[in-house]
Amino acid sequence: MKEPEKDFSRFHVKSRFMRESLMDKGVMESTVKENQLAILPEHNVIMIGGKSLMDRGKKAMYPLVEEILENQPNYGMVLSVSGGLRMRHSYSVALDLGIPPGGLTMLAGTIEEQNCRMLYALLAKHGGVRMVRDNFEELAMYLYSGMLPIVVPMPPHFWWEKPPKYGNIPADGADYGIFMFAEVLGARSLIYIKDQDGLYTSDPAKNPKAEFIPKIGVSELLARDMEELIIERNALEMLSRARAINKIYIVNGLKRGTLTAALEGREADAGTVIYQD
Amino acid sequence: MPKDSAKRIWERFQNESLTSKDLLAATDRKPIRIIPGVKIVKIGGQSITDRGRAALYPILDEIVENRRRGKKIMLFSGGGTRARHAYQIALDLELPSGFLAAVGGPIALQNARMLQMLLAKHGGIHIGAEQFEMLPLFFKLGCIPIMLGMPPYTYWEEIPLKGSIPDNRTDTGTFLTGEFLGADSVLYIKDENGLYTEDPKKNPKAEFIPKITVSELKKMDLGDLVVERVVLEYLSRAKNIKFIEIFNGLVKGNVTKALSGKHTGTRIYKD
Repeated sequence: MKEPEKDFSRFHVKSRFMRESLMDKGVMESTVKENQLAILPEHNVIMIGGKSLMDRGKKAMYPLVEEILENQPNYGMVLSVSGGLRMRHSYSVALDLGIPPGGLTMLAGTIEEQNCRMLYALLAKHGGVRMVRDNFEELAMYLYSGMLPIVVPMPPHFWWEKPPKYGNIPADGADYGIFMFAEVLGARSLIYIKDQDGLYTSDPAKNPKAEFIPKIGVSELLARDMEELIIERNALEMLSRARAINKIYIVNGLKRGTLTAALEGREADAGTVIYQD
Repeated sequence: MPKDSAKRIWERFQNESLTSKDLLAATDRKPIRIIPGVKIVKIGGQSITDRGRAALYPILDEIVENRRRGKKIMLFSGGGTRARHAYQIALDLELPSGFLAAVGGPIALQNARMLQMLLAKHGGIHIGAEQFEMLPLFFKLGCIPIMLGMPPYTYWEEIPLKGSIPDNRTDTGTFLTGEFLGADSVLYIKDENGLYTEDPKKNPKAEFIPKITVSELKKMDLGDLVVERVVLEYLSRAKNIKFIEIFNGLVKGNVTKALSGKHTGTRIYKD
């Protein structure tokens, strides 16, 4: 008996993308949207520098925690701490061993977990709660009950790190991850707490003539192509493409009041503002 | 290029910003291969799985036969027509791209599970990120590990260059797995012979491109591509993968040919 002709046709679900290539420029263009739904628009996302604050211990962290708690009645906040020195140490050992960037990402997350646990210990009696990524959809519950969720900032790229543009260090690190977190939520504000007043024309620790930049547009900043930056390049790249977050604050966590100024939107007292231009 | 020693890098890490281009460049080196010789294969969602048995069974037969001959094969699933439907609804609801990535992933997961059910009797095993470090065991046992192609970025998906559909989808996750594990190529099974100057389904005069480099392809600035655009960017920066190959899985024997390292469809090379 003759074998029947094979039917290679597809089972389709009818949609505007049916049979289309999602790589087609016209199709991509057709998905440009004016509006993006804000998921949690009333809350703020705060990123605490690992090397700049947590690694300094009590003298840096206790006053910062006090300031966070002073703002707790007025502002809902999601908190995060990056890795700092131990993360850099893991990176240097792993690099020497020949481990690829995805492996470095896996190691970085572990150090951030440690720092987030320590922040949790400081905040537990005030409603601090660790939110693991799998519980992302419980965030509303934490925030609307007045708690202070603490999240790991690295994005969940795990072994699937994108090959970096420069060298072998993951380019989508903590600053990038927390930016994407705030962006997808459509957060009220995003504040990076560091140990400098904000952005300078060069590193003020090395060059006393470095000039402070209180406010700058992100495309102008990227066009300057500076040798180093206070925040990851890819976080700035995301700010330039963002649909929800239109500015970020960089404040000095060693100076009392700068976090409050940023939460209140008093730009002049809140370090550096980088805005989407 | 002179590269700093690990000790020197650690000294610099303590005093310099990790955003320093000079410091980052000093960390450049070729990584080890985690699982040398691994074959990374993606089975297209819309192009293969959505066609059902007629398309998929013969491809899996070839995969099983090649595994039996000792090739370490890892399979990845695509999304396809249901992912597109989910994207359309999420777009209509004006959800952020992170949510599109989070609703697109589960469809690829369904397809990975279907592959596992078909391959179970031949050692097909579905693994999540939690089992990723057990790959050496699975290969040693002669298994065929199967993963969803979608990278785990979900809500942390980057903002797309254009529009709202996530840039990093199943072609990307497959590519990045290969790059991490130390594969030297990634195979994409689709329903076209490879790359054309235009979509051959729409324009029968479209010309076939058997091989090309990333930079040549970028210069052509094609309106449509057969592989996710970001994959080309990652290929240009890859340390392990030298080329990706897209070929037609509906042609009998192509899977075996490609797995044997023979030029089967379109090869896109890193420059």
